[in-house]
Parts: sequence; structure tokens; C-alpha cells
Amino acid sequence: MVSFVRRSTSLDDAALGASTFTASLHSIESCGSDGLPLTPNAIKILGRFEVLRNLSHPNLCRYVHMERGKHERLMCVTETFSATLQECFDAEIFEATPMKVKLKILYDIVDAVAYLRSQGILHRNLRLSNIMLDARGNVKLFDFGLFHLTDSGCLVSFPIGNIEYFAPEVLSMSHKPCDPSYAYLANTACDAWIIGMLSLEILTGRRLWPELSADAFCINLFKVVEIAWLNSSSRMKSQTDVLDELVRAAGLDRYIEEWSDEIKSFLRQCLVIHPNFRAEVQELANHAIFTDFRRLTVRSSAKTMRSQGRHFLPIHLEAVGNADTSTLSFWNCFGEVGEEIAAIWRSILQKNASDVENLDSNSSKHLLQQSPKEVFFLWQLAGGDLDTEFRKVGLIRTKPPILCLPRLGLLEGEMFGMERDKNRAYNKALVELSLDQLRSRLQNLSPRSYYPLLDEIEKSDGPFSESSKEAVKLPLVIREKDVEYQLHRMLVFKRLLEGYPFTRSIILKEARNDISPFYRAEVWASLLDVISDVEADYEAVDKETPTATDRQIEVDIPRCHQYDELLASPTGHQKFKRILKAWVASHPQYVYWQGLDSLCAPFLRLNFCDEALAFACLSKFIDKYLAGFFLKDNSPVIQEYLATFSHLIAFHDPQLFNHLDEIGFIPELYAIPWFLTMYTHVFPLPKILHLWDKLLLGPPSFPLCVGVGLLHQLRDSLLSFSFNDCILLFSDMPQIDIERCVQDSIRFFRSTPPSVLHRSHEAKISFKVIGEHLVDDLPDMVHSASASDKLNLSRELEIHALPLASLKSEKCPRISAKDLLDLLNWHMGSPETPTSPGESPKTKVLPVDVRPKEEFQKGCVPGSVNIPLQVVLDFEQNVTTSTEFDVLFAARGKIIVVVGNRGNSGAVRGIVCIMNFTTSQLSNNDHLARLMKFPIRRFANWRPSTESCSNYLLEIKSTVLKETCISYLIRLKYTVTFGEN
Amino acid sequence: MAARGNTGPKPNGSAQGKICQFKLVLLGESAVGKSSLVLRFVKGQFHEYQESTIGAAFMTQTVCLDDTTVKFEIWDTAGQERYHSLAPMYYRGAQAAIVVYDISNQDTFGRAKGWVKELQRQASPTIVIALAGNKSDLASKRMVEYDEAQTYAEEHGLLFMETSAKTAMNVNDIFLAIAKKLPKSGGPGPGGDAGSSATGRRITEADNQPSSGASCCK
Repeated sequence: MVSFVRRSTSLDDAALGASTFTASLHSIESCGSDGLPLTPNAIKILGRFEVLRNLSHPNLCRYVHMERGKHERLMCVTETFSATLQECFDAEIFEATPMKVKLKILYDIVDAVAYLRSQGILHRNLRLSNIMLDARGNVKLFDFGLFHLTDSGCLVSFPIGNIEYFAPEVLSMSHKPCDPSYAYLANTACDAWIIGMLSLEILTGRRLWPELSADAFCINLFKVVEIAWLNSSSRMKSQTDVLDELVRAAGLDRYIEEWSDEIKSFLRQCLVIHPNFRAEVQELANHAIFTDFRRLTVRSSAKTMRSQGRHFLPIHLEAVGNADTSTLSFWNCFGEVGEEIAAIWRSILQKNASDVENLDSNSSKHLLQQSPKEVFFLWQLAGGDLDTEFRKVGLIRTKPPILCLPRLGLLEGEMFGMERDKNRAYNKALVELSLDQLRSRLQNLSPRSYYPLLDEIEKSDGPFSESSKEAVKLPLVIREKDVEYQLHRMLVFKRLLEGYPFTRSIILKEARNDISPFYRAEVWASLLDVISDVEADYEAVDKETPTATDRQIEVDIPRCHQYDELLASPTGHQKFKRILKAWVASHPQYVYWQGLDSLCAPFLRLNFCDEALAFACLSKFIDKYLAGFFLKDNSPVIQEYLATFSHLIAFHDPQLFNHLDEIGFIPELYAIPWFLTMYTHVFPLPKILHLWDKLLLGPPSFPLCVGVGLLHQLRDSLLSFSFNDCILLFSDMPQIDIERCVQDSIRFFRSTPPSVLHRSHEAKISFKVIGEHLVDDLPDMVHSASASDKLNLSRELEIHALPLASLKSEKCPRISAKDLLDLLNWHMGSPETPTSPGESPKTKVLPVDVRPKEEFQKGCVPGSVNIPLQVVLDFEQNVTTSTEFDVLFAARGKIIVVVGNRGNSGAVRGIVCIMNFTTSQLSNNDHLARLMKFPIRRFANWRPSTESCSNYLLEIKSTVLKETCISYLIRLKYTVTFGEN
Repeated sequence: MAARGNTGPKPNGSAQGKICQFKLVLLGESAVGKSSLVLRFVKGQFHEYQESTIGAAFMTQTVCLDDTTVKFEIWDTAGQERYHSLAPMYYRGAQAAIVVYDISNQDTFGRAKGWVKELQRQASPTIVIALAGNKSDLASKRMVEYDEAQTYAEEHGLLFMETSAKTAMNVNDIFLAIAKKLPKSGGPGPGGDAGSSATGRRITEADNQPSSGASCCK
């Protein structure tokens, strides 16, 4: 495997800093052309932020987090370092600093800006105070994303950038940057000019006209530009640069004389007047003056790494490119002559180093080995809150709203006389987030805890095992708030994901407890078995060509989970549309059904910066859980699904089933959005995440059990409700305790014989491994038979799909012979079986054999009781109570399986009659009262004949039956053999 | 969820309180505002980001008309063409239908005509059909002229109004107009779950909005 340089991702000597600014407000509450309100600028900014979060370059301060506060306030967390170039500049050490050092600094800056350019981001905000240096002298650009975030400054009311560095074309037209006529080229070329101006300051250690105001500065600059332009020969006009004029006007001639031609040519390329002829930033980075510093390592992002097929999960593996890998370190650049000046630099850059050393005593050192995003995640868990931090230093102040009222408002919506809120302007202030609280919460951890070994995770021992075993018992909400536990889970999943796909089985096992919210996106992808080259797959799909589906997608997206800020942002909408279009285009057999948007939402939300992975997860998810649901004619698939669901309700909660059935509240009326969207249309995202954490571990049939779990939670209401109330309940889903629902669902799933969940349209892919993680206690019923026997036998015993019509007409599920045997705890061929009738007290099931007595005596399922059809039919005629039925009453709580002859419609009808009359008879005597108490009653019909056997499972309704409920029909040939004793 | 309160004065004698129950279905292209109309009528609310309806949704609302209490059982259907096959399940047995289009989108009007045709052919012959040109607040972007729709409605014997779920314009009125046109002799409509339950039903949970109060009992 490729070695990922993890160290480069750690926080190390950086700190977490927070800054804040506010987005501009829309002038009035105005609506877009579609009648929808305009998206608040702060939300637009949040959407644009995510791409910054994933940038990785050794000379950039990494962006960590951004959130939206009240009043369009944005709070941003980044890495920060203790020193800025401004401080060094103010210390007036540049002049004495060797040229090589200054070029090294320049190179770091230019290379970082070139990297940003390659990612489609313009910096525009370079200034000495935005260029930080770490203790090793590496440049770290800070606040480089502001121009991008604010959509070229359109979304905020303050100007961005240092006006003294601006290129002439920007100065002359920058009144309205949002104006479409504002040339894009002018934008892109401006960074080169800024680099030129900045370079002049760094190389000379002097500002051009330090005493001038910004206005005067610009006037001077324009004068220089004019002179340079006039002086140049007409042949070379377009290439004209201002270097000579500029240094002359600023009196810096004496410096420039000492410089090599290469340096001058570099500056000339930057300071070309005409933006079209100015150098590209990338060219500047390749300039000859930087030859000594060029990095040896090829910078590779997670993206390229993946496209090389090496790794497909962007596990925050900000790869390689550590500053140390350049040929020349910062300190080496000083050489022998520069010892003295180097000492001054050191004193500035390492002024805080001593603090760090003190802290390094114990586990905090290991904490700092985590990535900034991880540290910030933990910081929040340890009680950190950005709003509070800003309030502490007065960057956010609350003011009574009445003081903010305007004095005059025009009908058009313009306001006058508002007191200007100073906090609304840009404030450079940076708040360092103290990690003390987090450190104290984690101080008891041994250093070993930070480095869990795969081996230890697999055997669940290791330094963390004890406390985490305790913690697993706590409710999920508490675990998710526990810093120590979350750190542990984070480390475990990080380690496991590094080893994916080889560690997949361990990931599955760990995910059964819970999934670290921090690594949820990646863990989900691994649970879904995403393994292909997602990047290439996604690239290959046509996401742009207009199709007939576009209109539908476009009207659905602005309505889908819009309370979520990222999904509501314009960036989110674009991504949403691309993924949906990609899915439709890459699945020609399927079509877009409303609901696909909701289904996509959780994946997009988790993989906001990785459309390819979101797309891959969505595809895998649908293939597995929703096979056939998006066919043009999906009716057979959905009908079968709903019929199976209905059977499942009858199986687990006959009383509820009978009630719902009676009032005509059928799943078709309420459950289509449940299943078509896998509950994403029903619940808000935070709940969906927890639900899906478990759902993804289950087989394709598991969501059916979730449905039963939901009904179960609302059981009391539903039982007392009429049709209208029931449907109103689901039109506006009440509060659901998701964790309880999930636990119930798993319980239901475990107690459901697999054949009950059988569907002919289920995904044909084998998900055995995953399924086993919920049903690990299923006995292997044919363990001692030979392999081929096993296969034949198991085929004989499997359930056969019913035609949709009969599936819908039956109210109770059929179960397979295999499941009946499992329920009987009877294992084919094992020496201790079969047990004789009535001997095993442990069985969960009572087989009721409705064949005539003679046949029953020839052979029967062990443990079954015989209530021949005839008895039942007699019972129908005679009002006397039959003693046979007492057996049924005694079997309270058991699953009753009715067993009879296969294909014998007379028998089936007979059973139906029995049930009808049984219940109607019982309704007249005290048996009804007893019957009503039965939570689960099931009847089956099994009748071995020489050729085949049948098996019916049948349910009595707890209230008076109008119709019938038949069920189960499966082949049970082999059972003939053991009965003949 | 609470249905709207019985805000109007209660009929003084229970004897005069005849209750009629009607099944009403909303049909129309997606994103024309079917769910928003229902939400405005039933709860007096408007959600800008009203989520799409999958399958169908159900709500009830009661209006008072002279001495009669008219209770609507409203089925709000999914608009996407693909869900078409589900529609008969909802309009079957409906006594009233509102076919909705978006005045700022000509295509949705075409689709509305299709629905009207289908209803007149397949639904109950006595069904009362209303045509609603929704989003009338977007008059500046109008693509379907009022007269055009009005003429069409007259030709086909439909009730017609331009509505706005956002500003609440004509929302209660269109439901009320339907209520007036429905025959009220037969007592509880056949589409209801059970006539007996209607009288005892809880339709009085308090709510905070007086939206259809105007339409309720003068």
C-alpha cells in the first residue's frame, strides 16, 4: 500500500484560531423569480466553504470549520501559527536577511497561490499580516479563502484585500465586483500583480510609500502606470511592466541594482500592466529563481491517489508535501554569514515554542498528533462553543433590537439612519481556541490509547477496552457526547479505515456498537462495500446534457431537506443536481421517481466535498436496498414489498394488524414514502443518520422491520385511532425515539423467520456477511448432512415465491420448512433429535396438524398437535367447546404453525372455516376473553403425503373475523421419513 | 398536527348541526402548490420549502355552511407524472377534486387539462371539479392568462379561481365554493370512513390561526 504521510495532517505546533465576519443582508425580504425567498448570503458562504476545508498544501493554514450564528454571522476556525510576516517586517530584519531566505519565503507563497489557482480559487487577500510562519520557518497562508467564500466579495459588505497591492485594472473597476461585466481575466491576473507588489516589499523590506493614505497611494500608482505606458515603445506596449518606474518613484533604486536579472525578470512578469500579458501564477512558481526550493515530492491529493486506484476513501489523508521535503530548509538558507540575523528570526518564530515544550509532557502531545479537524471536533465535545469564545473577547455583542431600528424606511425597502454596527464590518481579530479544557478532560489517557493496534481492536482488548465496554451500555446520545469515548471511537475507525477493504469485517463488527460521527461518511462507504474507482466512474457519467427529467429534479431539490444549511446552499443545489443526473444517466433501466432526491440527501450531506463518493454510495445503496424500486413500472416491486410488510405486521403484532386491517388503514396509504426513500422523507437528517447507521448493517429486508418498529412505537395511539386519525398521524410524523425504534427493529428482525421476509424482487446480490451481523445466532440446521444433500435439502426446504395476487390476499406470512425446523430447534440428522411431541419445553412454536387422525399417526412433525379438519368442521356445527382448542389457548405467546397438505384447496378452505367459526363461536362464550389476551397466535397446517407436504401458517384475528387469513405453503417432503417409527 | 379549531360559533342546537363528509382530491403537476394549498386551508400556514409529496398525504378540515358542517377529507397526491398510476386510488369515490396549475408555467396548465379530462371520464359522474390557478402572487411572471383558464373552466363546467397559497388569496374561497356546490342531502358522504364516527370525531383541537374562520359560520 501507499504510505500516507500522516504526520503532515497533525496539528503539531499550530493552534486553532477562530475569526468571524458577517455576510451582507438582502436589502429587503425579497423573493427570487421562482417565488422562493432568496438564500441568505451566510448560507451561500457555508456552501462555498466546504471546498476550502478539503484543500491541502504545506503552505496553507488549513480551514477546519465554519458555522453560522445569528444575524448572518459566520464563524470560521482555521489553523493558526504564532508569527506573521508583518511582525518580521515591523522588526525591520528583511534588509539584513540573506536573499536566499527571502526567495524561500516568496517561493512558499507563490507555490501556495499556484496550488489555490489549480483548485479554481483566487486568493486576492494576500498581505503581510495574512502570511504566517511556523516555528520551522515555513510560510502558512492565512485567510486565503475569503475572496472565494464571499463569491468575489459579493456576499459581504466590506472590501477584501490590501488595496495597495491591487492591479490597476482592479482599482479602476472595482466598484461593483459582482457586476458580470467585471472581467474574469482581470480577476485571475490580479493575484500575479499582488505577488509582484508583495515581493517588492519582502525583497526590499520597505513599503513603497509608507506615509501615504490609500487614496494617495493609488494616485501615485496610476501616475507610475501612465508614465511606464507612455515610455514604452509601441511595439512592446502590451508587455510593458512598471518595475523600473515604480522603484524610481518610490526611491528604491538602490536595492534593485544589487538584484540579479532573474529576480528582476520575475518581478517584471508580475507587474505587467496589461492583465492578459501578465504571468500566470503557475508560471511564476516555475520561475528560475526558485529552482533551489522546488519540492522533490510530487504533490498528490487524495483525489489523484484514488484515481490511481490505490485508495478510494478520502480519509482526510492529506497526502505528502510536508514542508520538510523541500530540498532546502528555511534555516539552511541563512548560510554561515546569516547566523546573527537567523537568531533574530528564530526569536520571532519560536517565541511560543517554550510553551509547547511544557505542554508536551504527556498525552497532550499525542492529542496534537491528531488532525486539526479531529481536535476541533473533540474541542466542541469538551464543551467548546465558538459563540461564547467571541463574546468573551467582545467580538460579538448583543444589543437590544430596538436600538437597531432605522429612523426612516422607504416603501421600496431602503432604510436610513440605522446606527452602524461596528461588528458588521470586517474584523481581523483572531481568537485562539484554548485546548486546556480538552486537555484536562483527556489527561488521564495513557499515550498508548492514541495508537490502537488492529489486533487489539479485533480482540477488543487494549488500553481503552475496559472503559469503552462500560460506555457501550450507555445510551447513544450520551456516548456521542463523551469526549473520551469519541476519541477512542475516532481512533479505532481511523485505524480501521486505513486498512480498508481488508479490515471490512472488523469495521462491520465495530459499527454494530456505533459509528464515529467524525468518520461516518467513510464508514458508510465501507459498509456499502464501495470499492471501485469512484472518481473515474463518476467522471465518466454525463451529468450535464439536459434531459426530460431535469425539470422534476429542479423543482424537487429546493424542497429537499432545506433546513440543512449545506443542502440549502447554491453549491449544495448544484451538487445535488449533478449527482441525481449522474444516477439517472448511469442507470438506464431506472427512472427518476420523486423520492430519489431525499434518498440522495444523507449521502450528499456526509460527502459534501466528494460528489463521486456520494454518488457511489447512493448507487450501492439503491442496488442493495431498493432493487427495482426505481423501475419505470415499479408497481409489482412495491406491491410485493408492501404485502410482505403487511404480513410482517401480522406476524409480530396481530392485534395491531387486525385493527388496522379493519379500519382499512393499509400500508399502500402511508408506507410508500417510508420504503421508497428508506425513511429519508420521513425524518430529519440527524435521525436518519442514526437510523441508517444500523440499517446499513442489515440485509435488504431489514427496513421492513424498521417499519414494524415504527408502528410499534405508535402502537397505543394507532390502536385507539380511527382511519382518519391514523392517516393524519402519519401525514405529520410525530416525535419518534429513533434509538428505541432501531432497537425494536433489530429485535423484530431477530425474531422473524427469514422466509417471512422473502421477496422475489429482493436484490440478488449476496449480503450474507452483513446479514450475519444482525442474525448471528441463527442455528445451522443442516450441519451434519453432506454438502450436496445439504444443498438439495435446503432447496427443498426453502420458501417459494407466491404470485402477487395470492400474496396480497393472504393476511399472514408463510414460512419455509427450514424456518419451521429452526423454530422447533430441530436439526436435521443430529443425534439428539427428533424430540418426541410435547417433550421440548423450550420451543417457541406449536405446530398444529390439521390432517385426519390416521395420517397424523403415520407421521408428524415432532411436537405438533393434531386438530383434524373434521373436528374443526364439527366444531363449526356444534356449539360445544372442543377440548382440542384448549391446547391452543395453552400455547399463549407461541408461534402457531398450521400444517396441512400442500395444494389441497379443500384443506385450506377448511382451515379458513375453522378459524371463522372458532372465532365466532368464541365470541359467544368466555373463550373470547381468553383469546383476546393472546398476543401472538398462529396456526399452521402441515400434512405429509406420499408425494408432498404442505404447510400453512394461519393467524386468528383477535376480534371477530370477517375474512380469513391463510398463509403458509411450503414443501416439506423429507418429513415423511422420520415420522415412520 | 391538530386540525384547525372549530373557531366559529357552535351551532346552538345539535339538531341543526347536520354534518356532511366529503372526499376531496388534489391533482396537478408537481410543484404547482397542491400541498401548500392544503396546508394553507387546513393549518393556515405556508412553508416556502414545502417538501415534495410522495404517494399521497391526507388531511381533514371542517367548514360551516349555513346550518351544515362540511367536513373535507383531503387527499393530496404526488404530482410527478410517474405517480399517475396511483391517482385512481385517490380520486375513486371522491365527491370533489381541485385540479391545480401554476400560472407562471404553461405546461402545468396543459397537465391540468389532462387531469380534468381523466376525471370527467373515470371519476364519479357527479364529481365537483374546481380548477385552481395557483401562485397568483407571481403575477409578474404570468404565463397562463386568466381569461384563457376562465374560458376553459366554463366550457368544461368547472369552478375556477386563481389562488395563492402564499398570500392565502382565494384559498378558503375555493374550498367554500366547492362546499356550496356539493349536494348535502345525503348526509355523510359515501367516501367517509363511517358516518357514526364523524359526529364523535375530535375536530376541535385548538390552533392558532383564524385563516378559514372567515369561511366558517357567519
